[in-house]
Amino acid sequence: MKNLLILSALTLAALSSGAGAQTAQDILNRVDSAQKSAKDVSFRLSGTASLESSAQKIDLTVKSIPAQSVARLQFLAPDALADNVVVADKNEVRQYLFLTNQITVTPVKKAASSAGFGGLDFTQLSNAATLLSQYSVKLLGTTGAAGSRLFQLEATPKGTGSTDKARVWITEAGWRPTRLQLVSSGNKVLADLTVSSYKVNAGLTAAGLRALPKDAEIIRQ
Amino acid sequence: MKQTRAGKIKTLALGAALLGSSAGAVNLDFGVSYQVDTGRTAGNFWQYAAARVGVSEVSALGGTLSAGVSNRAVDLGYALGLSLPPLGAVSSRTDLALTWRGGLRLSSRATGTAGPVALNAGASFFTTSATAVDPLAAWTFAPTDLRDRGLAADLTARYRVNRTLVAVLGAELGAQNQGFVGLESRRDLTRVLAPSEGDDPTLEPATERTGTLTFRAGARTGQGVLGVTGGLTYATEAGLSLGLDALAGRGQMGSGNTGFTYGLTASVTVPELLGEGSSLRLYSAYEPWRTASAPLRVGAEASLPLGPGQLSLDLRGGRSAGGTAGFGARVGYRLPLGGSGASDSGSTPDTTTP
Repeated sequence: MKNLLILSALTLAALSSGAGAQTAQDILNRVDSAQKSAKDVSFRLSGTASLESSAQKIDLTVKSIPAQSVARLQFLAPDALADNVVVADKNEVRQYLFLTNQITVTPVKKAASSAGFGGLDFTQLSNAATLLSQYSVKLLGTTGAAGSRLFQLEATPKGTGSTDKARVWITEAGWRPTRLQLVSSGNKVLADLTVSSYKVNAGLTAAGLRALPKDAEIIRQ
Repeated sequence: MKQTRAGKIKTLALGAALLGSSAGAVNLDFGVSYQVDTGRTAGNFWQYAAARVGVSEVSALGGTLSAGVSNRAVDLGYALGLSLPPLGAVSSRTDLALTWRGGLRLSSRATGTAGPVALNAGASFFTTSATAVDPLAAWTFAPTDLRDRGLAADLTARYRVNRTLVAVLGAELGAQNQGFVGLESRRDLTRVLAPSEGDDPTLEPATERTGTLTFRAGARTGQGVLGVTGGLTYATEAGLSLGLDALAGRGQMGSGNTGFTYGLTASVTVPELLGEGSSLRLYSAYEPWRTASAPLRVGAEASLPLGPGQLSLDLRGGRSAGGTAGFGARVGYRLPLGGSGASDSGSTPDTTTP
């Protein structure tokens, strides 16, 4: 699950981080400038991920308003997590649990120090510059014809001792990610997700991103 | 003179700053309640009234503390939680109340959710009745164990069989030992969002939730009760929620004899009816089969922002197993002192698990 979150984070990171076409940095800069005009970004991540050795279907939507540091993750699959929602902003992380109809509210300071995201600061989902600074990114390959080339990038976390890698496919058409993979040190694909329903400037509002069921019980932590 | 005043103001400002910065969102709570019932024997005013002042959401010992003092008791609460989004969360809460007459009530509850499994366990030990601490405790929506002393425990496990189906298994031990099993089907009422260009047509389309409908069916058996249960809840995205639950079977009847009995509980919650940030809940419960709780309980609970804080008004009433009727009212005010937690951006009122 931690891996999955890193992937989602990387997607946003790829969307909003920083460089002309043939080096990894160039590509990221293009993505960055394409994204800078975006007030809001939303997309759907779907595919499979290996959770506790067995492959599971993963399907979630990510919505973000970077300027306001608000991000929302909503699960559609697996069944065990379906309808669960995570909303993060500068101050707190709210988690809606469908099974118990509860919302946990955790101050960001506390959330960052807890193990839930495996050290990943969830609120940085919409602050990609910070996030990407923790990864070394290189260009693995390019396919397709000019104008619709597909770049394959690989990101390795810096200084964590981890050899897990994340691969991100970026399309030249729109400078956005289309596919994500998380690969273990043994070159085993842990997660393979495609990006769809990608939208920018859809008129998302912070209030809409923050909306959670009002009849839920609230637990402050 | 002027200097003294300036000094005082400085001290106050410093105090406020300290409270605001180091303690986060601390709340000051005030509450007064009064109850009358037909079973009343002579006594002074304070036997039927309670006035409490307390603090809540004080960050301490890695969790949050609450404490209060009333004309009936002193109380202390400690809550601790850990949230692991998106997998789940654990939280616990322990409350202690000591009445001035020497009674003690200690209760503890822990809840945990991890993926498809959720557990909720509670235990309590008491040497005085719940109404000795809170005069309105008998008529809450959730049944209150009204014994004068005892031990009680309960456990509920929920397992998500698939996206829409949850299996529930639980037990209540103490005054009336019983167990229950059930199935809960929760369906999101959704509306399909228009697909965007270039989407994979094989994926199911993205949807938006407009509300939920929950159906419950099960059975309950134990000391003095054997019955089938059913219920439904309808909730809209705007926050309106309607719930209805019923039990039918064999148990203690309204007359006190054993035979065919039934129970009905209903509640409706309406947000924003009394202005932005307000909440109103009406409830009624008729459960003659419960031997240790008031068989009839009705209430109206309102909460609305007033000035810098939140005002709450509760009206509750009911009938006891002994046949005495009563009602009571409570007015409370919660004043946040600094921090951002209490002046929440969301208008959802905080609720507590029954």
